[in-house]
Amino acid sequence: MMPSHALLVCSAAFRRYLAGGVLACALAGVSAAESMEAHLAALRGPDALAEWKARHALAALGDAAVPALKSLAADPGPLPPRWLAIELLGQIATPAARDALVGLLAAEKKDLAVRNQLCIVLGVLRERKAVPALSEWLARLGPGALNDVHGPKELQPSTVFVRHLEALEQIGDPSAISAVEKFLDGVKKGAGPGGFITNFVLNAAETALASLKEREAFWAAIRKHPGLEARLAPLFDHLSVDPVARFRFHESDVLRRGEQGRALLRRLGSCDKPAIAAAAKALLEKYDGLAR
Amino acid sequence: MAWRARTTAALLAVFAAGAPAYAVRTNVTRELQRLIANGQYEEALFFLRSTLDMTLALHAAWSGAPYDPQMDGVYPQFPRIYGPGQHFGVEVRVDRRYWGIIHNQRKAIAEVLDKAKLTEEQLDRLDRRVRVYVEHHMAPEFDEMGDFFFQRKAWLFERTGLFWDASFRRRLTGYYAERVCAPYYATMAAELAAKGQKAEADAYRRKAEWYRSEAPGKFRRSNGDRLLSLLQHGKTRDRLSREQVADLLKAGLKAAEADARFAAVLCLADLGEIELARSVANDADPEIRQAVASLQPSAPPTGLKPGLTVEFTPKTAQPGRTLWKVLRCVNVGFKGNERFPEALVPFWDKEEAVPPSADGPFLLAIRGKLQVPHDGSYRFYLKTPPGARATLRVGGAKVVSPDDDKNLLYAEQRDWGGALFYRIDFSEPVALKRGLADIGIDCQADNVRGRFGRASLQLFWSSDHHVMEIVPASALFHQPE
Repeated sequence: MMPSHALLVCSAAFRRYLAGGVLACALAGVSAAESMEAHLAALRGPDALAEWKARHALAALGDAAVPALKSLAADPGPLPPRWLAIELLGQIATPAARDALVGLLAAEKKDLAVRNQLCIVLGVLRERKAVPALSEWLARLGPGALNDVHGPKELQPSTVFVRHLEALEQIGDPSAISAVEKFLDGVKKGAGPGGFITNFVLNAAETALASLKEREAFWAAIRKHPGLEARLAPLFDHLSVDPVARFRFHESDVLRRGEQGRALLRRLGSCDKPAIAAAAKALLEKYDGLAR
Repeated sequence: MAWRARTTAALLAVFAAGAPAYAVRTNVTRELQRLIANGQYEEALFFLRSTLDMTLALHAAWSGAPYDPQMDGVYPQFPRIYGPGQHFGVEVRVDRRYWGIIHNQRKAIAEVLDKAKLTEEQLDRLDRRVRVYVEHHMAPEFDEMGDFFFQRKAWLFERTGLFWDASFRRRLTGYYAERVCAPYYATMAAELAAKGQKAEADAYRRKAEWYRSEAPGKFRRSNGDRLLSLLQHGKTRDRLSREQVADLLKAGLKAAEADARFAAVLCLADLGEIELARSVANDADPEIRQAVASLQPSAPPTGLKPGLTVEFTPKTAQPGRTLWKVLRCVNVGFKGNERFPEALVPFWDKEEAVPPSADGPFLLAIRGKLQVPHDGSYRFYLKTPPGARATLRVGGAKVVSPDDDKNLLYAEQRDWGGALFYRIDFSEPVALKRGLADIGIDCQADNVRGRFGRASLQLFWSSDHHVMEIVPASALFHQPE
């Protein structure tokens, strides 16, 4: 049996160790470039614990770690540390880190594995600035459009397209609708590259398009009630960052305006965050009156 | 001929994916169709929602989660792992079928929700069931779902000397604890706090903390396993006997790297070699000293003996005959795993509690003492065979009863004929004080043999201090005659 109690005791020590380490790094401002280099080396190394410490230390550094992480992510070396760097930028999530991620996405036109990871992180962050670069990739559907890309043999181009569609769906910006529509038309006409799994991509594109249109219609209806749009911002921010709500698609329930959406809004009406509770109540008041 | 096409597809799937996996999928689909046709929407949603929650929880784990650079044949359904040579780092690919599951689940849930028109009370009940279900399956200790037993798999690899492989799994358990479990429990805590359920929210918050604090220990153990694999002089793929593993771990205790000693202590503890692990009680590394100090004492509490007593009474084969055995753990009727015969010793008695000749209806009475490690709230889970009626008593109170389906966690249909394979019921949280508590299980069932081998009875627990796990042998005692 796993000695869970033993680990429990040990973990308390680790907590102290972590707190001490991160605090020490923060207090020292990690002024020395060697510290940063050591952290980056740990991301590249075999030691799982060292990598864990480096991840936490770099995330705690915030903006100070962004340039180094950006250059590690853009470094054409082995993929694993590049993936970690992208993930850490997503974790830091400051405007500088977001801009770094958008810059990486705009610059990376060839490496499928890196683009794949960037899509995941930018989708989770719901970074609107990424929409042009994501939409641009969807235009690469014609014959030979992906001739210059490379990636691990297991990573199909179709998977990467799906990641882009998922990210656009998560971001939810209606400006992506035309790009997704064009892409969907192209796929239906059989314009996919080699190794393209049409049904798989079609499914993702249709889902993304339906979701984007649903949002657009919802917000258009909301805009008919002056002042309501601004009041709802905290509610949808809350739904977008809450992983459980994401798991259960509560946001879609609200957008669809069904019984589930009403039940969710009633629950959110008693939320301990006043802004969310007020927004939920305000929406519930208008809910039945919103045109479909 | 549609039936012929279906049969051919079924046979191909059996050969391609393995019969059990296919059987599960078939029956879940069948079961879903049946439930929807009968208007049992809440049940159908339970199936769909729990699968989706878990799938997405896994997605959270995989998206960007550094893991195994080698191709991994263990989880062909979900992540496939690739990477450059011996580089010990990150690369995970999610199988495209996985995305298909998400899309289909989304659609199916939307469709069922449209039909269902569930009341708020029904939705709340569904939430609760799904939550307990996900909590149950998210516990890395739990081994029912193939994709969720990373920790168990790591442990099996350690027990058989495959430390290189174990290292990857340990690393994954770290990521799993940190990225999936801790955020999940933290979010649930916030949700419960918003609903005003303060006590439950606190318990979830503690669990989130626990997972977060577990992660570094798991990463350290991963690193330790990697260093232990280096002691095998490059023969990292050789499976070793128990004695060979113990010898390797003895060498690990003398390793220069503290992480290797740390992993060796914990592996020896898992092997039951507590005394050997205690030989480094004065190690220079404080975490190792703490790990050694916290190992369960090998001697049982005064006046008690390890294990529970079990009274097995076959009702037809030999009426009136009662067999007495001592169980180390509440696991009756397990046949053993030929591939890892000795790896299961801490969970299972080597002696079979139910004699192989026994058949037909039986009564089972299990009695003993449970050593409660901390004051706190405990939830118990009883997994029972089909048609069984089982009662669990802890501290004198009936906590799981066969008379209601209120706390039915899961009923698995894994059988081609659609018969029930097993069910799991959970208790409400039970407040227990540190020390010994009486425990008793009464079970009656029609047959000791299920359609897929022995019927089995398993007892799990979870608490504010630990995740869901099989109640360990070290916590079970009985009063000698």
